[in-house]
Amino acid sequence: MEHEDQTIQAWVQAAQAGDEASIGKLFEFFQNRIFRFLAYRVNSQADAEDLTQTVFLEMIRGLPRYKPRRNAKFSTWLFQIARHRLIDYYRSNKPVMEIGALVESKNPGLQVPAQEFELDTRTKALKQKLKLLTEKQQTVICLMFVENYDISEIASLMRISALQVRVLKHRAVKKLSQLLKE
Amino acid sequence: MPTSLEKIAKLKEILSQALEADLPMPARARIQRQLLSVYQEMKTRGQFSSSQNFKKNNLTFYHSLFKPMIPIIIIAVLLTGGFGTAVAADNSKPGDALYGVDQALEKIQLKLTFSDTNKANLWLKIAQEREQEQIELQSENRLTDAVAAEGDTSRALQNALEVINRVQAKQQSENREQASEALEKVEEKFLEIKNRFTEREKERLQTKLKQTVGKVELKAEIKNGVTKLELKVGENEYKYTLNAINLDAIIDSIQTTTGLEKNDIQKLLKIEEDDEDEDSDDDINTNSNQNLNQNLNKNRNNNVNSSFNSNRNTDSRPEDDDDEAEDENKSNQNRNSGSGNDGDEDEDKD
Repeated sequence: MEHEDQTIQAWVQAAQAGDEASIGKLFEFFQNRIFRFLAYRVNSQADAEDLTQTVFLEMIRGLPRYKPRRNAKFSTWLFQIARHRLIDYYRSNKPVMEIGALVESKNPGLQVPAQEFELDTRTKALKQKLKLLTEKQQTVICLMFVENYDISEIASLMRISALQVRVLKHRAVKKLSQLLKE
Repeated sequence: MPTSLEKIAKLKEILSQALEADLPMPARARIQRQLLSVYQEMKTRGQFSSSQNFKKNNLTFYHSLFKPMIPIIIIAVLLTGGFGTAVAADNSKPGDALYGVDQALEKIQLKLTFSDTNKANLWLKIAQEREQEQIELQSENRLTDAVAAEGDTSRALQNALEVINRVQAKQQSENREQASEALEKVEEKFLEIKNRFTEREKERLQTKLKQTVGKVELKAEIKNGVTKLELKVGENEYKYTLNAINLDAIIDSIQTTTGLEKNDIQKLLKIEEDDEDEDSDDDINTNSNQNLNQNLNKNRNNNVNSSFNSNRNTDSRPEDDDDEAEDENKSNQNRNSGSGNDGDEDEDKD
């Protein structure tokens, strides 16, 4: 993990020094993570793609002023951008509809094997239920369970206290568990 | 019956599958092309160049010289009624004859409570009682006593937080990923009372702001990733510690703590450099300071181009300290109506 952070930091520095290849590397490394962070919370796949593009453009525009900080990873900064673009998106009053088919199937034609069917159903249910959480709860859940961020990282990204992150987490988990039982 | 840890693990597994999605190839290619073209354009404008950026972006060099963080002093002017209640409480005489007895009983009760979670609960109960008393005293116009009661609320909250953190640390050291339900309840209750307390602080601040215009001063020192604020309102002096270490985040924190409008804070804010870090690199130190100053001026003039900043400047909604329960209720509609946190991702760019 530390090695990974160092590699990313090296790309960032090279990109700041004018190395085009490093921009490509940064994009390759983060594209799916950012897309995933956004995808299930917006109206359509096109919106998710557009937002992803906005996030990376903003990354590039911010790079000249970006400075590495102790205890703050580059990815934290990037996810912070993503989160705020998502909030802007919500601000524009677009109702978030259920989009069951969104990014669900990387291989649409592929049949789901029988033993995976149960999990797949729950997956769909979960995706829908996730939308019933608040924006903050979704962010915490996604960063903690999918991105494996720890509480202090999430706290610094969302600019709230660790205690608030913990409360958001256990409320989200509780709510999700209840929703999934229904 | 699965344990809570197993539940979390299962949830994690389903979540990572549920959210599994890759950026489709056409979009990937399109975005990459656009990124490169923007990057090249910026490069031709000289925004990325090795000679300019190498020194300040060399992490190893930077960090070897800058442990801890670059110290800076910020001077600002603002008003608060905040922690002064705590100081005032020390000198106040409880109005009721039985008040002292009440406190003594609470102390005994605390000593007889051995479980940390119960202790935290007890502190919260005390905080709630003081809160109630404070409201009653206010309505009886016994203002000194009310201030004393609020001071006690603040102290009880502080004690509760210490106990909560202790329990949390203990659970972590025992690798118990999921906090016990009892602790979760305590944490929620804490936030609830704390939010009410913060709201009252903001109101008091607004009152004082009207009374003591021009007699206020704020000094801030950023060091080791923490900002220490010294606030003078008339003759009173208060101290705060913020986690924020850059200008935008500090302004946000001041706003959250005091309820002041961002524009007011920006007008009053001044920055000074702290020379304490003798062996630090002067160039970079100055650079950083200049950046902060430039940023400050930029904010002051409201000459902010990005949509993000514009949004932030016009938004005076309280930030993340909102009552979380409120969040719960707002749910989806809330998101759609655009009440998300309006924080500042460019904090690290300063």
